[in-house]
Amino acid sequence: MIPAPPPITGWTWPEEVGRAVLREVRAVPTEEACGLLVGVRREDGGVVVTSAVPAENVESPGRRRRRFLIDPLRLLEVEKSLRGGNEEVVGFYHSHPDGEPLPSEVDRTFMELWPNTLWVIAGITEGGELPQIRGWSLDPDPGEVNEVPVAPSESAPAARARPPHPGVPRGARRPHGAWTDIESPRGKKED
Amino acid sequence: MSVKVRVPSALRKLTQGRSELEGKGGTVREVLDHVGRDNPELLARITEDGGEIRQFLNVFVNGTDIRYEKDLDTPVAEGDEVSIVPSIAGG
Ligand SMILES: [Zn+2]
Repeated sequence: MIPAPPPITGWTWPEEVGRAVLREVRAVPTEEACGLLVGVRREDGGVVVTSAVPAENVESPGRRRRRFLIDPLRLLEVEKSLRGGNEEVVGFYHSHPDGEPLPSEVDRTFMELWPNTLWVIAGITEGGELPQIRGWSLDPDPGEVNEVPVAPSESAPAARARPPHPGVPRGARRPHGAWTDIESPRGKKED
Repeated sequence: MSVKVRVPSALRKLTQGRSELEGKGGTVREVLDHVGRDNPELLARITEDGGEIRQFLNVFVNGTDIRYEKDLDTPVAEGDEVSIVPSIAGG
């Protein structure tokens, strides 16, 4: 039995993982890039990301600039590949092609379904050369979205070696019923 | 009929720390009701008060979305795996 995940107090990722995510984000500047974050949760609430697993944005093409959707089967595949090890899916990342790396109202709606999970957002602001990256998490008690600071990782446990992740099923169908319009209740910017 | 029910590790707070539960029943509905007895918080996340699946919640039997089958009435057999995955989406 694994203890329930505590609120996330800090997060970190190796430089090469951060670089890979930035490359991916910049490769699709007019669409939201997205993926899963694999890593280790420490007892003190620190999250050490060990790898980022890109996922296809399976939203309809016209909506990908302001929305992302990950096929839930992708999560099942990755979790299966991690069974028996000390790593798990600790969070998700996505980009905002036209905005700050702050959780939108739509993001918050889905963060409620994923308490104590790390949401890393890469935001591309006007005139910005490099996307800005910030981490967020919903603490279900009392239901607040908090920024998670980047914390040093010197006490990170070594990740166990494992085979590479299975490939992304290209052209995967859009999960039926997984998304309908949620409009921002206060008309805020939604990207 | 004994069926494995898997929840993402991120949600194991709702299942007293377990990411794999043992359920009994002949349909997804029966299996979820069974595991829901010991894990009411989990069941509340999966189904509405009326008993139907919540909007942004996906349930798979051996990797097939039950929306493409018979929803909660989808039959399950010994050794099947029921997976519960909230939608991963945002704006
Ligand atoms: Zn967002």
